[in-house]
Amino acid sequence: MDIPWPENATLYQPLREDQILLSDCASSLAVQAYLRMCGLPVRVCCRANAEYMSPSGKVPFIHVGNQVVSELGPIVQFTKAKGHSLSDGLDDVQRAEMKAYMELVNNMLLTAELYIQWCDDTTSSEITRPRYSSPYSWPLNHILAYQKQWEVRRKMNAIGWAGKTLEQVYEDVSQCCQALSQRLGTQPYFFNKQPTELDALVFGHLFTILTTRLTSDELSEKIKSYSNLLSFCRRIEQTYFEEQDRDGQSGTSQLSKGPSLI
Amino acid sequence: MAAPLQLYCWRGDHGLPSVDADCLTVLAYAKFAGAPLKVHKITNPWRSPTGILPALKTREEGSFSQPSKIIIQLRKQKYNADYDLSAKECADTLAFVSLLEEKLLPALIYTHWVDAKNYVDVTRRWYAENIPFPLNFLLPNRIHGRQLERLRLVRGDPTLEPGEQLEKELYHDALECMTLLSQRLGSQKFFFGDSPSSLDAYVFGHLAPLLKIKLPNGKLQQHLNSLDNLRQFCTNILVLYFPSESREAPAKKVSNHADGGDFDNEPHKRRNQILSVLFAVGAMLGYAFLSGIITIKHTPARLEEPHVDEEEEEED
Repeated sequence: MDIPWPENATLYQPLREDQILLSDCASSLAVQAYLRMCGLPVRVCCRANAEYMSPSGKVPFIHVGNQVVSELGPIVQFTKAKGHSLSDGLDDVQRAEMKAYMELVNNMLLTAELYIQWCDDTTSSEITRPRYSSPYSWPLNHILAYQKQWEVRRKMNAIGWAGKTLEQVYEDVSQCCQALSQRLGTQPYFFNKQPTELDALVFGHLFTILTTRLTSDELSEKIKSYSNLLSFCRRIEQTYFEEQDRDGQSGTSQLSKGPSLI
Repeated sequence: MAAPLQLYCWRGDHGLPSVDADCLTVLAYAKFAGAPLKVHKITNPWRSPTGILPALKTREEGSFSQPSKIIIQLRKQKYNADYDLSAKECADTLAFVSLLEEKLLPALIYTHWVDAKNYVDVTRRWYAENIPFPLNFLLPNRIHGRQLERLRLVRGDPTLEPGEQLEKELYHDALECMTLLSQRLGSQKFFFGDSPSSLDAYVFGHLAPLLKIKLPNGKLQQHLNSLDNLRQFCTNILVLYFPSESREAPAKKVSNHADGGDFDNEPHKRRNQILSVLFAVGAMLGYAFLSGIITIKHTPARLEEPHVDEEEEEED
């Protein structure tokens, strides 16, 4: 009935060096962290057309056996169906809080990342559009980049973020981090002493923001002002990414294109 | 505290102070924080200072529109319902509001504005009956288009069509969200103890329309009704903070059948109808006499003669 986790499970994401954007990198790192926390091995495979291969149009997605699942939410459900879950030990109230905080990250952090990437003209023209369109030749690169930008801007309009200034977005990120920092307090992870999918999601986003070079450092400075969030990221990086990569490859280079936290 | 604050919001019905979720959120927050608002209940969004409802108009700082901005403005004016919350509770508020917006709101938009039966039978009908002419022909369809577009953008699928698959996915998320809220609320009166806060306002604003407005396709309603503590929570707030609306509810519900509803919404409708018919008939008759289509033969015995003479003289 239940096929055990195969050895050749693969995670697909856009090209790490040239193509992947901040928001996609954060989502991908969150999924990788989650799978490592569950102890499920997965191979990371970079493809230029990962976005188009994905069943929902969003990256990352995993290919396990003969099934393809994309985005962290469905992947968590999928692994739960296979008997691996990190949140079984939580009671009802804690589970409600966990889901709420995951939505907080999706609602505020992810949307802020998308806004900064696509709606801020400087970042969009200097970093996002060149990166997004790097695998393609002219004129397709321009067409795809502008199409994606237009789509993201319409979405921002629909959810009411179009009227925000960059400062207001940074302020929202700061509020979100304050809430996360409050919730984390002095504990090693958000719930008990064991990590859950919330920890994976928060780690994915915060680590990516901290180690990605944008046009200004303001975003990462906002996070650096919360020391417990910094040590949280460091702890997860050390526990799950360094120890498991000790043979051969260095752990941190797999994680990001920027410097590591340590 | 000094300047009078004016709030423009959608009119209420079915026992609610307002039919719109955002307006309800702001009204509830204002009651919780004790803000003295002058509430204008209107049905024409173009009359609001920002063009959309709800809208808060302050004397010095202009007008604001989204619920989050309005609440921030009220807080600036020292009307803060979250004053007693600890830092962790404030963080929880942010998280649960995000949960509401990501998981529950799309399903609410779908059930009120996109689901074919609900939209045509209930939502469009209410807005078309209540928005003044000629906007009642334009606005409901425009809002419908905008909400469908919003769902498409949020789901990232430009080819999304209303249908069973979409409904299943959205409702699954929404039912889970409602269950989570119910679990978080537990047996408490409000989410953070005995006094209500902004999270209570948001939850009330989103759930109350679902509770009170009867929809033909009511899966979400059924689930909400099965969660006793949430239902009790909404009814509690209505009774405590909006007693006048909940008292009017029974009377309005009875009269909400086809013709009865017309009479209560517009008591002069019959009179207007008769007057307009009389006016039309009079105009046609007048034109007929003027252009000679109808002539009245003068015969000494007829009683109408003096009237006809007077009429003909008046036409000149």
